[in-house]
Amino acid sequence: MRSRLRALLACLFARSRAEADMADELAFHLQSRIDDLVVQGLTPDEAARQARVEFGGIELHKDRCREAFGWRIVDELRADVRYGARSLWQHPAFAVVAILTWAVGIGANTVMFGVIDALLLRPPSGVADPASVVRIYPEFHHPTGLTRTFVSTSEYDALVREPIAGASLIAYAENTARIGTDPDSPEARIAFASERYFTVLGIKPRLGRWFSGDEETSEAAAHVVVLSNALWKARFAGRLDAIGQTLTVGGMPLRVVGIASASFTGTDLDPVALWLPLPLAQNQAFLGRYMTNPHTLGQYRWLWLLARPQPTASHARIAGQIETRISEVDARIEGPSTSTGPHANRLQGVTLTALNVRFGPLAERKAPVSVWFLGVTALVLLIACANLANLLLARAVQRRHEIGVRLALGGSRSRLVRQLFVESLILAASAGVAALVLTIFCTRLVALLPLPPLGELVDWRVLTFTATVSLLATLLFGVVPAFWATRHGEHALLQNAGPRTSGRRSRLRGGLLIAQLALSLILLVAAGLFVRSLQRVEHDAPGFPTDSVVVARLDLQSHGYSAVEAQALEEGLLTRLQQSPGIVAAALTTSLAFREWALVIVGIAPASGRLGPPMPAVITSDSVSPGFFRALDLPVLKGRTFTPTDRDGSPSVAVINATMARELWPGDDALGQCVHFGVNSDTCTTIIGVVGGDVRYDNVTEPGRLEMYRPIAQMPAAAAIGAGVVVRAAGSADPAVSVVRTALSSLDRALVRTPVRTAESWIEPTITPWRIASMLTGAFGVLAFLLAAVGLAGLMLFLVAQRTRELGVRLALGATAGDVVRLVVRDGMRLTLAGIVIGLGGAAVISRLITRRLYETSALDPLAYLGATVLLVLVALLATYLPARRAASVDPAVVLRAE
Amino acid sequence: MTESADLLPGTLDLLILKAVSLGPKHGYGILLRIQQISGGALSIEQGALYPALYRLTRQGLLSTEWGTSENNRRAKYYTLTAAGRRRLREETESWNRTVTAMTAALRARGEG
Repeated sequence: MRSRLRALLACLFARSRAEADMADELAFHLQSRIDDLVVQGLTPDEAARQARVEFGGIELHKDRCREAFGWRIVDELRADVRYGARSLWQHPAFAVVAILTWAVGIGANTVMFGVIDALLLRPPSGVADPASVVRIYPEFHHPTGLTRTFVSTSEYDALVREPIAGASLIAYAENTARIGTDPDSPEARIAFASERYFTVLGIKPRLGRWFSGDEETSEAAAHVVVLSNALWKARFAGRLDAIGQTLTVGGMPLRVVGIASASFTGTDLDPVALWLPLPLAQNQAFLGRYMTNPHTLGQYRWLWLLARPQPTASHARIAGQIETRISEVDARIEGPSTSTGPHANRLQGVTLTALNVRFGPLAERKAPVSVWFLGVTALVLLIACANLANLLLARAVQRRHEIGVRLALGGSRSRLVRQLFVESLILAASAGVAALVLTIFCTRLVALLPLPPLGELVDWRVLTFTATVSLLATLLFGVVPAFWATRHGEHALLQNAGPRTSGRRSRLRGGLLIAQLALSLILLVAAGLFVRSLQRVEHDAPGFPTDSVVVARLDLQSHGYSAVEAQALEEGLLTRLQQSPGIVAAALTTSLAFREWALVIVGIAPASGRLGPPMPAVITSDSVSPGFFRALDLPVLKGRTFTPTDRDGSPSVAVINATMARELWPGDDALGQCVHFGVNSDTCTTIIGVVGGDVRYDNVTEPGRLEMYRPIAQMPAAAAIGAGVVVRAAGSADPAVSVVRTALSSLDRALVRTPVRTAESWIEPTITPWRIASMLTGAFGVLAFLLAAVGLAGLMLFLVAQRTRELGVRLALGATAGDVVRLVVRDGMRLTLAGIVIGLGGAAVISRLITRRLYETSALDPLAYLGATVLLVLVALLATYLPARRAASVDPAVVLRAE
Repeated sequence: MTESADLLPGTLDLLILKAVSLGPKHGYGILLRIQQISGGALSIEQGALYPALYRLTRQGLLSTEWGTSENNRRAKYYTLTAAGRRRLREETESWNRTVTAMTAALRARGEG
């Protein structure tokens, strides 16, 4: 065995030496024989001749030696590789197209598999036995179409006060906060962890301990923090004495009690820097601007639920218990009236999913980008495979003559198949390398997408996937044509080339091509639909015209401002801005569209003096200064907006949007109606105006909210501390950004780093999914389309080459070049037409699946379909015209003489 | 492998092993020794020797080493390995059995 291995190694690495050795050995033999013969009395010349005669054919014996030593199979393989490489080199167009086609198909799929793997398949690291941990998604449906899958603190309390049979429940919430005392330090991701969070997940502290005792239940005792390994390394340089030290989080000094194990960074995709006990979330430092009304905290749904069910427990029974508990709590808190009222959040059911399903009960719903990635790349892979099959088939057909000759001359079929297979392997290997380069490049591109941090995209799992796909494709597309080509080889030779026998193959190739054209048309239509959506989203994304708007967020608290100082600074800023040239309006707001907003529960007192219990409604509330409606360009439909006289001490007033007026006072005048903030509050706030426009706070597709604006001057001074600034410029927003920056830093040098941006860049993250979808389908559509065009051109060239004789005869019999071009183009267009018909049908079916992802665009949008079709026809014309021209330039004399 | 007509198929390997078992030899030396120990009765085609040597080397029955010949030329010497020695013993026994059986068979006479 070892000697065999050595022989093989010698063959691979020391081949030329071994050859030289063999030659030396035989030469030595001959020389020795000659010497002996000379001794016997022959002349040196005669001796040499006789020695050679006695020995026999040297080369023959060498060859037998090589075979005996096991070199021959390797030699043949080498010859195959050399021959394959040379034959590919001689057909560079074929080689490049095949390698690129293959690389694109495999590369795109590798990246996508990586993304899907990271997003959907890989469980969070550090969790013990992640397969036995489930996520619990209660679905609350709001009549406006909003769905929430969080639970409130009161619901969570009810779920853990008496344990659910068969499962240990835990809850957590994630947020961001500034770490340290430096106001310029960036915000980090923090998590609030419920009781037993770490124990249920089975995570050991690397150092110190988890939260315990009162820390887990009382806000007063909960001023402690557990650090992630990364933060411990960054902040404390991994020192052991970090335990017991103080770390300021969100402006609040906390005692470090433990360090989490190195691999655990939370259960979601964004790595968590530190964990705080859940009760600490009630502290004003973390409630901050999100919840202006602490009374509603218990009802605010913000906690994610996890559980580790016992191995034998039924998931359905656990879900059932949770559903019952939550419903009981909600009935008690909100009263029975809310479950039927128009504004209730109704519990629709409870779903248990695997821990790696981070996007809600239906991954598809929340991870559209990645799922679409997958679908689209699978399509491209299909197209690439079809193209490749076509290319290799065409090549096999072209080589039938050569193969026929070799078979007729006694070449063995297995050797021929092996050689063709080796050629496919060379293609696959080159494609694999190209795919890897492409993958690395694409991974960089993916990193630019606004996906959560995905960690290492290309790991051994992904590479295994690539290698498997590569190998399968090679087997399928390398072996099948090889067998097929050698099956009828001799006959092909006897029949003098095979154009007449390849009708069935042509049909197969035509079918493959039609499939390619149809698939790329589907992708193009999808791209068109997404582009149309994107246009509309860009147009009416936030619910107000964004072109000239600049947004800034003041964070005066971390700069040490008191509430009163903050108010003074903000007034000064507004005055300065309103006097600046080119600024139309400037205003304060406590909510900034798409980023920060507060939901409040208000009681609506019935009109006309019939006093009963106020009816609760969930409303998005914003506190604004008088210029707000001008700054956002919201039209005043009824009544008035705020004036400087609406201030502390004057009657409490509010402006609402038309949606709220219509929903709550249908057919009635909202003006003069009275609302109470907090169901049990008895202060009456009068509605003084109705404005148009549905400002969107969460995402572009959310339905119109019930929105209410109140004068910021009537709010507690604390509201001013985290205010945002909105400014409308007369012209473009860009110069206004620096105007706002200058105004800020002239008031306080320390504010120079305040984020000031155009509204367009502010809302960009919300538009991004559409941008990605249209970019992605567009890019892949064009790619698929190019592949199909190359495939079409290739097929036409091939058909033309096969018909050279026929076309030559036609030309000789008087057909004009134009006739021939028309003939060939008609063939190509017949295929294209079939592809278009099938593709349009497919697109009409498939686009229904993406209806939910479209915005104000019909799945049958005529422009998208028409555009894609026209594009396809144009490119198909080009792809058939060029081969047709070539056909028409055939010289009939040459063709006929070749007969 | 085409052996000399004088040689039964399969016997070349056995002869080579036997020749080498008498001491390390280069190819030409093996050829001479076979002629010598067979008293010149067995001749083998010279070129056919080498494929057999390569095959036996590959099977691990012979090992090779470059050395200097009696007339100061660089020559490749073959030595019997342990496996080669075992094979030689087995093959010799098997050959003897065959010869005994063949001899007995050929001596048989018709009954009566």
